[in-house]
Amino acid sequence: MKSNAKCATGLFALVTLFSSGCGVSETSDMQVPISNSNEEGSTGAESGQSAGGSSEEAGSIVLSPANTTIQFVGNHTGEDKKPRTCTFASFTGSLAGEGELTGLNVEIKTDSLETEFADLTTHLKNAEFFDVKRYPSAKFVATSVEAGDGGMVNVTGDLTLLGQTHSLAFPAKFSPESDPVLTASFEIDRTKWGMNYGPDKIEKMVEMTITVSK
Amino acid sequence: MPFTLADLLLGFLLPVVVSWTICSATVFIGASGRYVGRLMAPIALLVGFSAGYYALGLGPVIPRFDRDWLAIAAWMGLPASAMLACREPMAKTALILAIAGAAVLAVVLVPTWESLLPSLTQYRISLFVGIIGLFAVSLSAAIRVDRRGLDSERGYEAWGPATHWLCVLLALFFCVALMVLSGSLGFATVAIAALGAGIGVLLTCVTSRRKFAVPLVSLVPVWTFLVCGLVFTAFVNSSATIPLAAYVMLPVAPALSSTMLPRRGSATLRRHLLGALILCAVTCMAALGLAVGAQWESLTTREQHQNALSLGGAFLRLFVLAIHWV
Repeated sequence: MKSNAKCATGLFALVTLFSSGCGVSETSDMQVPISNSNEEGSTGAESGQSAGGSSEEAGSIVLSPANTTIQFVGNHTGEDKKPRTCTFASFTGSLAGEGELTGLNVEIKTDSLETEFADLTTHLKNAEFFDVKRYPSAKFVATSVEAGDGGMVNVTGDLTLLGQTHSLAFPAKFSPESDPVLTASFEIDRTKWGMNYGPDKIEKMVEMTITVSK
Repeated sequence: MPFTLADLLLGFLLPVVVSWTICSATVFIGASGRYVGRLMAPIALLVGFSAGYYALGLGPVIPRFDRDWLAIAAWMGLPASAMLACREPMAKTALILAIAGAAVLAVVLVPTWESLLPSLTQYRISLFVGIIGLFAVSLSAAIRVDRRGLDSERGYEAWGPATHWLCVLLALFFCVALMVLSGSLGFATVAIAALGAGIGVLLTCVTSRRKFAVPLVSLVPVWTFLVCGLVFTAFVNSSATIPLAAYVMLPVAPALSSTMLPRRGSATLRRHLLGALILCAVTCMAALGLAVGAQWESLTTREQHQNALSLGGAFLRLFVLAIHWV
């Protein structure tokens, strides 16, 4: 019995040793610094933005969660698609253009991803999807904007996601005089950027929606 | 349903069949009690696990990231297993080989993100100490199960180690649950492949009618490297708020259960086996309880209500089924 007790004590000492070696809460809390949407908004206001959190200095709008929504919808495979909507709560960027759109760039903190389900949010942040610890940011930089029909523009740019940069083109409606200023809805193939998890569970095409208000 | 049919067929059933086939082959050629037999069990575990891992494409053949080394991690325990498979286990040589393997794993498995906190060195030291610590504790438990206690009782030689191995599989099963909870379904699938390969080894014990005793001692290095790699990778890559203690308790649980082993002839075989299993299960459930508790706090009130309702519904269905059955 004595040796049993010794062994058990040793095992618990081992558990304690590892537990004190590295702290999970410290790691997960501090690995990717997150600034929440309110902080983003206040920063924008301090730099001369309007009440809505946007700025129109020289025809450009500063993108922030206060005036911009970046959202994607993933669908399950099979008959019951069970669409899941995800948004980002922290990003920075700018939209340039007076009369016509001339530039668009945005940098997203991937750790700010949000869904209505806590367990889904955690899963999407993990290595199978956004791998937010390895890749704390995703970036889109427009390289060209072409005028289309009926107030539409065709935006082409480079999307950097999971450390991979690929060209992305999508149609957008740009109307500088109205609100929202820009709306875009398109699909992207997540596997192009190496987000290959579960093609037999989740569809590889993801619906993206971007809305920019004044 | 977090796992598809392909996950279960290729990730679970294939490892079971592969490892069972290899272990059964050693029984068939009459080598189960010899060096070859003791070495083939860890090899069966490794081959079965790798079959599931690569069949499902859970990672590239040539590692790209730290986490991709997971498939190779378990193989690093094989040299030490070869030393421990000898009739007189070469424990010192095995320890040196295990230290070398742990040092390599501590370098390749720890991510080198700039934002990694605490420091890279702290992680590497923790992983190294963790592997060696678990190796020592598991080896000590395996030797105790193999040599001490109820060897005079009929059936112990086969069922004693088999029960300890069942504890190991129980811990792996809870690892799968922990990884599902932490949102790492990919790593959970890897753990399922390991579980399948381990079940194949146990199945040989069941199907060979006592001709095959699970060679616990030679399995220790491979099991240690596999489970340490698995829980460490799942922990460090997860964005969930599950406490580290939950990840540590699971690999330690089987060794802890061996402390239930009584002195020679002081208890019946059945009582010993049951006690070991219960202790292992309780430790694993405590680990999972920690994880569930931590995750519960992160849920919204609506999700908490939904989960509570579905849990209540499941219990109600079980209750109705039980009444129907009675």
